[in-house]
Amino acid sequence: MNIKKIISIILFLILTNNYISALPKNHLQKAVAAMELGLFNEALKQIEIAKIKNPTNEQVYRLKALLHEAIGDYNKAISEWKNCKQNTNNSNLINEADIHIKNLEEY
Amino acid sequence: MNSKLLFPIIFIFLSCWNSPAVNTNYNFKEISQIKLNKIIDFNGHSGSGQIIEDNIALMFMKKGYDVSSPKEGKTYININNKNQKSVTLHCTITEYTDREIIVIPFRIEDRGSIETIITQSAGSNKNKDNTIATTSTTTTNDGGSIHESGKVEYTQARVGIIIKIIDDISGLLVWSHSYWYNGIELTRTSQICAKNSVQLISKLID
Repeated sequence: MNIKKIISIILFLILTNNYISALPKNHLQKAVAAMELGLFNEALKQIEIAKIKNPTNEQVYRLKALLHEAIGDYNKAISEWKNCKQNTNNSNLINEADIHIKNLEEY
Repeated sequence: MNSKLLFPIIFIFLSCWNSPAVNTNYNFKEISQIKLNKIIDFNGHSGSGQIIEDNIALMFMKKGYDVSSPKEGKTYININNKNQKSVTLHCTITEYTDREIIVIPFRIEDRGSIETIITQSAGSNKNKDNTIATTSTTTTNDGGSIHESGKVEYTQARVGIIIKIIDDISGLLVWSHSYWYNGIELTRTSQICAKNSVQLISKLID
């Protein structure tokens, strides 16, 4: 086989491998990737699956609340901020949740 | 300190923590006009001052006040024509970013498995009519494992402002408040930050 062909095949395999390894592997990564593309509903679907494996992760609830806020689903956002508060002892996060709940309750 | 006194002191401290500072001797009901000073851009964010200024003006309009801007850099909010007092609203942007990094640690939890194999065989005895049934059960327990597998990072927007209201005649600082908000989009976050600040001001003057 021509050496140029072999080199091009090797380069193709390296590039493909890099591309595949850069793809999101779990649902939380997929949720963040979708959110950064502005696909908030898709991000919410992925984070709902991620929540099953991380049921006590306050940051998962926080992100979910922010996504609900972004799409204007304020009641669900309030509910997620409350879940976030229940799963954390971090006073800054509790304060943040309170600020958001207070704001959202005015809608 | 007496523990009976400690609880009320902590409660009062916490309940006043994020509330605005108000000059209680000042009569806010007598304000006829609020001048909104030009807001300086946050360091490295060209146009941020104008965005906050426009959002504050927009929120006052939404509340039903007359907003005029005869000269560039000066916005006037007219409360009513009956009163004489005028105040100036100074706003300083303390935070303005859409690149605040948030880290979500996540874990992959292998919950394990229980595998049960039941083998049943039936054999008949040649001399008797009876049938002998044999059942064997094999159960395999896998305890699984829990391990931290990494973290996911994302960026969010965060906007913070400090607002001061100064009486034009006496130069007295009559009201001051700091406020911040965060969210996924910077535009919406700026708007909410302005909205909540205007809401507090309108409660004073209405």
